[in-house]
Amino acid sequence: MAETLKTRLGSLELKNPILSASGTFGYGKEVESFVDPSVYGGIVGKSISLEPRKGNPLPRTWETASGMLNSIGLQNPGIDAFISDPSYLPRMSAYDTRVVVNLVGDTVDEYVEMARRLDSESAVDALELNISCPNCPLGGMEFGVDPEATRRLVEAVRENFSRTIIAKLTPNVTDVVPIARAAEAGGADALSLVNTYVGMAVEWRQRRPRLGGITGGLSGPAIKPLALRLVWLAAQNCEIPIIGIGGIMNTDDVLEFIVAGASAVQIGTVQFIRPRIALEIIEGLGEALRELGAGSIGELVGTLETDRDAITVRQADEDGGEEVPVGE
Amino acid sequence: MSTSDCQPSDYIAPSASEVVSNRQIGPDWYVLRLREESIARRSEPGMFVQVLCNDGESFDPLLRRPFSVYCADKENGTYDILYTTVGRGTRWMAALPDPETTASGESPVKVDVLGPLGNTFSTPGEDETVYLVGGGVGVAPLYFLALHLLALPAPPKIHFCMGARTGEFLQGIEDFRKLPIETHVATNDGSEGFHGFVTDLFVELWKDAGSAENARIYGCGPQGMNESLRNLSIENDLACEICLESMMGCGFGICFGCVAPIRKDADSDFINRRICWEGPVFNSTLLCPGIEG
Ligand SMILES: Cc1cc2nc3c(=O)[nH]c(=O)nc-3n(C[C@H](O)[C@H](O)[C@H](O)COP(=O)(O)OP(=O)(O)OC[C@H]3O[C@@H](n4cnc5c(N)ncnc54)[C@H](O)[C@@H]3O)c2cc1C
Ligand SMILES: Cc1cc2nc3c(=O)[nH]c(=O)nc-3n(C[C@H](O)[C@H](O)[C@H](O)COP(=O)(O)O)c2cc1C
Ligand code: FES
Repeated sequence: MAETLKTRLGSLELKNPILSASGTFGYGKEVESFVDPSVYGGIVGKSISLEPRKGNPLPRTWETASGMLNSIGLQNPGIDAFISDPSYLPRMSAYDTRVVVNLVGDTVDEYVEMARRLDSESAVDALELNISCPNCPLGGMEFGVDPEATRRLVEAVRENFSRTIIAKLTPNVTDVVPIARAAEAGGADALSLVNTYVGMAVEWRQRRPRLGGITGGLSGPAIKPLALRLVWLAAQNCEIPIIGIGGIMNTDDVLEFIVAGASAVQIGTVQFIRPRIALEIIEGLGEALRELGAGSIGELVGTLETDRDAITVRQADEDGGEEVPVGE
Repeated sequence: MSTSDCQPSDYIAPSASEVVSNRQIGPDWYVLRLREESIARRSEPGMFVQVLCNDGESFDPLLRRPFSVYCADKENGTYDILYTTVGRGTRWMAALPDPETTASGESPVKVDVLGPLGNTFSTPGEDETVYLVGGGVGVAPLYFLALHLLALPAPPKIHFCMGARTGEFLQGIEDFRKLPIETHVATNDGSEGFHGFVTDLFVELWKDAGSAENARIYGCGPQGMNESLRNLSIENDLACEICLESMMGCGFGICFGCVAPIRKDADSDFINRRICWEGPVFNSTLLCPGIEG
């Protein structure tokens, strides 16, 4: 039997597990001269809000060791233009791939209003709720740090959107598990994690922050080990599929997330450097399946073998990483 | 549109450019000549390339570095980058071997480059006098433009004005002096040429020429220079295009890191537009006072 790269997020089937991450792919049109967006299993556009947003002051990016900080500030054209302007949703819907619309709001009502309008746009296969942006005082983050607020938000969107709902979680919390469970309880079909880690860079001579937004979100290979841990914890503690995000640079990284429990992944920052990386990874995944003798991606999801379960490890981490004897 | 508008062979892919030469032309200034046919063929003045400043096995430095194309030889498939060393990436470039001076027989050194990216300058009218106004390493795209204009069937009259802090920072000038154009320099401390800003030098030259309305300015330099060029072109109603720089995350429109308040046309509002995607060359009337807003 030929290997298949197909994977599922609840009832949504993807032809392969590679999605573009929100804010790192424009809305598809921008990458067309580099790669055909249809090669992706799914594409996620930059966060859309009810009203247009002009974003944060400059500078908006700063490179760090094997990573980058950004404080773009959710610049976007707003939901009206997104739906009607031919460069946004109409163009995304013409690609042969799953279209995921990432939403950000300041209130539950804003998310609900956008979800309702997108429910009648058949081109939209899924919503991804950004409840985790570190770059705006009202960037959805306060939902994502509170389990109860997360549950209520997802529930409200659930009532107004009939297809797949993904909740995108922030890593900027003490414990991601209660938030992940709350999103699941609220009716999310899948979870995506992680968004960026909030951080900062300083120019000491001028005594100034490097970013116009002062703080920003850290992405890139620097965050991969941190993201892997959270994906593993979420996968161990939830029934719904997980989309792994954070620092993925190549096929090996994708497989690490899949083995740790992700049913699909999103690639972000790497696309800035290698706009054709999705093609390479998709080819590499086929080879990896053959090497392992696996028939599908699904056979690998969550196959990490550990000597201790996630609950014990999480407890030990919280106690300051105290060593727990193997086999205990 | 299951496959997008462009044919696969047209995709811009990161490609291995072979180092032909890497010459130091002054303290901290270098010219890197690379061979890659498709980049050389597609490059136009104002466009830039994104250079990966590591051997590809490392993720550090992570992001590519943007550089204007300094010139391109379409027949031989080579293109040049004029660069100054300011940090890790440019120091890595300076440390690339110069095959013209090192022993032959060694395998060619390749650099991973994405491009060319961005837009180009518009062509002047036949009766227009061209003023190229550059500050520091901002002269790079203006050199390519000068070559391009000189190759037109009826080349315009061209003045090139270069500004620098002191005479020591005028290294790029030699290549311009070899061209059949009028070259002028300004230094902030008066150590060479006109004493003052390059924009004031331009105004002098332009007034000497009778404040002619058919002057067309092409500028590229530090923020302050670009800003005064914008202002004086608008005050005097002169055609002017400015090549902007910004910190870049991607260089092709997907990160929204490189914006400035720029309007679509003279009647519309200033909104944050991406310098890499809609520029880097903009008509000065579309730029906001202060440029970065
Ligand atoms: C469109 C464009 C064209 C350019 N053309 C030239 C050229 O022809 N010759 C030349 O010498 N330089 C040019 N620059 C500036 C050049 O990109 C920076 O000097 C270079 O990125 C510095 O890299 P570094 O690693 O040496 O410095 P570092 O200080 O270590 O860089 C750290 C980070 O800051 C970014 N960065 C630093 N300075 C700049 C800057 N001025 N613009 C954009 N990003 C910056 C780097 O990309 C990197 O992400 C151009 C910039 C742009 C945007
Ligand atoms: C420049 C930039 C802009 C981003 N914008 C958004 C956004 O608008 N909405 C969102 O949910 N995530 C946004 N993200 C986060 C990414 O989707 C992703 O979660 C994060 O970058 C981690 O993945 P990576 O390390 O592969 O980049 C952005 C990331 C970057 C680097
Ligand atoms: S540098 Fe990324 S949008 Fe311009």
